[in-house]
Amino acid sequence: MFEKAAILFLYCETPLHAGSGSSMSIVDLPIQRERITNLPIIQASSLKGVLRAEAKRILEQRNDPQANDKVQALFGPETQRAHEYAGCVSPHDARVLLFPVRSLVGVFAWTTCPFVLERFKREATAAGMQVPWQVPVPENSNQALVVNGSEVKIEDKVVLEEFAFDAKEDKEAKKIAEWIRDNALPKSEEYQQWREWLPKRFVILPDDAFRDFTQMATEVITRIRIEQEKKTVAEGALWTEEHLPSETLLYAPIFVSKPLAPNAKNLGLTNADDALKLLSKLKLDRLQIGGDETVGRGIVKVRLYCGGEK
Amino acid sequence: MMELIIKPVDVWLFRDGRPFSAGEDHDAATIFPPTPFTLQGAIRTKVLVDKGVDFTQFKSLDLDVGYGDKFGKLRLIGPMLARKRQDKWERLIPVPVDLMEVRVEDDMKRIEERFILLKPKTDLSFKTNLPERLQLLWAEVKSELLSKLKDLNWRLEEAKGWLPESEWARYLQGEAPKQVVNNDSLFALEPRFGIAIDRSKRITQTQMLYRATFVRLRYGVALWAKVEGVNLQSKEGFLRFGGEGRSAIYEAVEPLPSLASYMPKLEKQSGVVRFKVVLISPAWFSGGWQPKDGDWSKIFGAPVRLIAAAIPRAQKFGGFDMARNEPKPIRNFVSAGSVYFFEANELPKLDENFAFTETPDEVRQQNNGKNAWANIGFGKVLIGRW
Repeated sequence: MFEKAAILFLYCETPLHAGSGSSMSIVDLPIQRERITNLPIIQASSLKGVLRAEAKRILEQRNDPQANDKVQALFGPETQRAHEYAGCVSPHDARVLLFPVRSLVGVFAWTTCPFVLERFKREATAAGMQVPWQVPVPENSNQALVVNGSEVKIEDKVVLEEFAFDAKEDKEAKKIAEWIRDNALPKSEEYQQWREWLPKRFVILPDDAFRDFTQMATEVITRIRIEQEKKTVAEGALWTEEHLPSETLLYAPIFVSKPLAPNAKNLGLTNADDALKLLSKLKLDRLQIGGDETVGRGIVKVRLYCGGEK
Repeated sequence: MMELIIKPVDVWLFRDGRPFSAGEDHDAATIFPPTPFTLQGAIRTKVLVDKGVDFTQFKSLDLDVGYGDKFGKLRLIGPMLARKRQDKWERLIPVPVDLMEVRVEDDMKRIEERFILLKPKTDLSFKTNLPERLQLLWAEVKSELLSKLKDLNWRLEEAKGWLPESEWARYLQGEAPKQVVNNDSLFALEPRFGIAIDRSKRITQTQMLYRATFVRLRYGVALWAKVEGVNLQSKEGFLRFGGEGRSAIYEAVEPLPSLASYMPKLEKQSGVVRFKVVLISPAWFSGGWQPKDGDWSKIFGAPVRLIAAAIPRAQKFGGFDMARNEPKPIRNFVSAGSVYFFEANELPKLDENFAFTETPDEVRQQNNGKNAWANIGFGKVLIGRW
């Protein structure tokens, strides 16, 4: 039973491919999406596997003699013994909070929409975050809400890819942008400039427009394999892969329950709080999620919000 | 007493009774809505957590919520599918099996009044091999509908989907409902592929590709449940719900109308009273689809005659016993939506606590001989005319 919730924010530094298998569409290897909204996600199982491996790596690096047991108490035993007891950390699907779209001015805009914000607010509140903003809704399908002094606005318009929206400055949009800047973007030094940019490039789109951009404006990368002897493309070795573009911000709710491992007490994990503390003490920094690790894809910078009790 | 709305955070997985072990099985299907066992387990665990029980040491009986097959004071109804309409929650039941739909080949020409109820037919013009006194269920297409269908390519099919609360009263009066809600507008199934990664070599492991089918509810759709006998500490919170450690957010809501409030008053006609029993949650019987030897007086406490029944294929449920750390035995259940048609000389006493299910002997013994499965939500019914 879950007693605690946390939120893990994931900022894509390189394009990320969490694949859903092969497809019959234009793209050979599409990314994972929600069935009903078609918004991009990273399945919980991918995230859990990565967190598990990273936790183990960090604890072993610190020469923690109980590294393996602690990891099993958090995430459950190895597959062959999975039936013995359940882990106490349950990451859920990672969802898009901000999606970067090419802009006529200001290079790109971080876009989001009322539906995504409302859903995020619900989960962030459940995790105990203070969310002191209301979600503003564009008045019609051509309107985009921006922050006063926006750098992606040109003569009362916001032009994303080749679509023009009527820009409307909105006070609540400013609150949201600043809140995301302070609470969700990575906190470290190298992100100083990004934090300053965020409100200036922040756009709230109508739900439909946002969904369309997340479908049409993902990064599709064409790849080939070269035959070394001939220096030509190998027969049949041409394929396309869909990626979430870099600068995408995702979030994943993480629910924590009382540790069920028989040896939990000896590991100092008596309750959900202890488990959450252990997770936050890992000081997670960068993770690699999804496929194509060897070509540098899927590097995300993370920020964990722990707190809140229900 | 608490009534709850249970919402998902993202997706849910409620496994059927088939095994699914990594490296051996590759496909896990979901059943939906989840069985009363799922709710009972989630509520029990929540109550124990609220009490601060240490699960690694917990191997004893809790007086409120029991242990293993003992259910303590728990009384549950649900989980039932519910949707929000104009700020009110409305429950839905699986479409009863005695409901037929006229399907026209050309979808543009949808017929408005296209639902028809099956009824037992007494004056068949041919002989059947049905056991003594059982009658065939028959759909009678009225002449005005026939004239509408005259030049169309049509057929009669089982209606599929969900019957919303607004239609229950009409249906129980013995009239065909005006609308049925289809699956698509309530939830979608989301098959997901997964692989196991060998972290030491950073490659995928062989024979570890699997598929699990999750269920994703649409916005404004949730589960409803009624919890009695035990109170949850807070009016809202998290539950661990279903497979893969997925979660649910529950909140207490204002009580919805009781199930009994939809049931019409039954009267005798030509010396007999006729009524039909519609299962809205699964039921278990000692003789498969009926009590052992067809003895319905066990259930009603008075003599009744079974006239006809519409029962789809049995559902198999097992579940996992977290206390013993082993799977529960898999049993056959009569699925929700099944309809039984009865006749009696005197109307049996049917009150709020009427239970249209039995409980296996070994479970009954552990619950002081009580019909324990009825208490946790099996065999819940709506009763109407036919």
